[in-house]
Amino acid sequence: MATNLQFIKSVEVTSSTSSIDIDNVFTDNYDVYFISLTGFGTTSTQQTRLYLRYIDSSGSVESGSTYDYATLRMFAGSSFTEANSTTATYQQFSQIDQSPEGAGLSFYVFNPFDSSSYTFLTFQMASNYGSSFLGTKGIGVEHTAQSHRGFQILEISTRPFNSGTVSVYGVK
Amino acid sequence: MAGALVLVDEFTISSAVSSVTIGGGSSGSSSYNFAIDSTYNVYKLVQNNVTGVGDDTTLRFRFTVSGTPDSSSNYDKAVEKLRADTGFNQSSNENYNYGRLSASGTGTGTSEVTNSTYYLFNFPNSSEYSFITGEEVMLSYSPTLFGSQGGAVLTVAQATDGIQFYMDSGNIDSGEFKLYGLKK
Repeated sequence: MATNLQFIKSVEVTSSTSSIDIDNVFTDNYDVYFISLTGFGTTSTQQTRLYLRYIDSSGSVESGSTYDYATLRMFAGSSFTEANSTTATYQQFSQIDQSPEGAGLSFYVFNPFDSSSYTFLTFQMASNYGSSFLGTKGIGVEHTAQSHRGFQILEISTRPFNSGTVSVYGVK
Repeated sequence: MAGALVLVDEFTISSAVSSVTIGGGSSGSSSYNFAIDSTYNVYKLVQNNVTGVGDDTTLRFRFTVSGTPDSSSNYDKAVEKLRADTGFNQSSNENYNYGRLSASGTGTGTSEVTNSTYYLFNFPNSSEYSFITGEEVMLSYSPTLFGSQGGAVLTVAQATDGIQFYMDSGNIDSGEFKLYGLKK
């Protein structure tokens, strides 16, 4: 069967860290990318939330207040909530926790390498933390007309992760 | 460059069946005898034109362990139900003995079917829970346009190797199921 998804790169977390760079994955070969995260787990029993920041064409992590996002957080054990921002310094995803709890995350990135357009993202995530299930759907944009060559996955609560794999695919 | 979305199992219902198992090795519905394993980090499942024999029957699933459906009361799920006729609904539950992401019951009228895409995470990892995310569009038995966005988890640290689909009542009348591995 012909497919339109082409593998670019996988990066594995092998030691405790609060951020991991997936650099030099966006090029002019593709306009749209599919990215999966699996097996992410924290080093302690305290959950943390994952975020994304893009890496610009010079290799710097974009941490300005140029991220907008909107997410729907669907809890199995309580009411759903919404989270959004127009001045964030990152794209917000959702929770991970220590194994065997954890998460699966997939997202599409649109036009990250095009220096004349903003970079858009849609994502879906399934998490289990604190013995409760959370499904999250979300969208986001980094509203700077600039080229991105990669991205960083991070957490900001000083609750590092020590496992997980990030895989990047181009959509032809 | 070769594609990274690799078809590993598929099954099309040709006559009504009580269940369909995708993956699950030799217990699977197809002749592929494929069991989800660590060959791929993430799997994608596409389900098309699924409907029950009876009116207002809803698709459920269970993950399989060595081909056998896990019917323990350890499935949690949360979905947002979208619908064309009125406001959206939140739907969630914990500790059920099955998973369900479908928003409503299928029907026997024209195109009263459910269509979904799913991503499967951590299935082959025996020390992790098994996660699924899903997106659905369907025409219910009413008929009304429904959809769902959400996910589920089986909170047992074990390796799972497939998914069994079945209706809450009666047989599955039609449907096409395709499982892909995402090449590492």
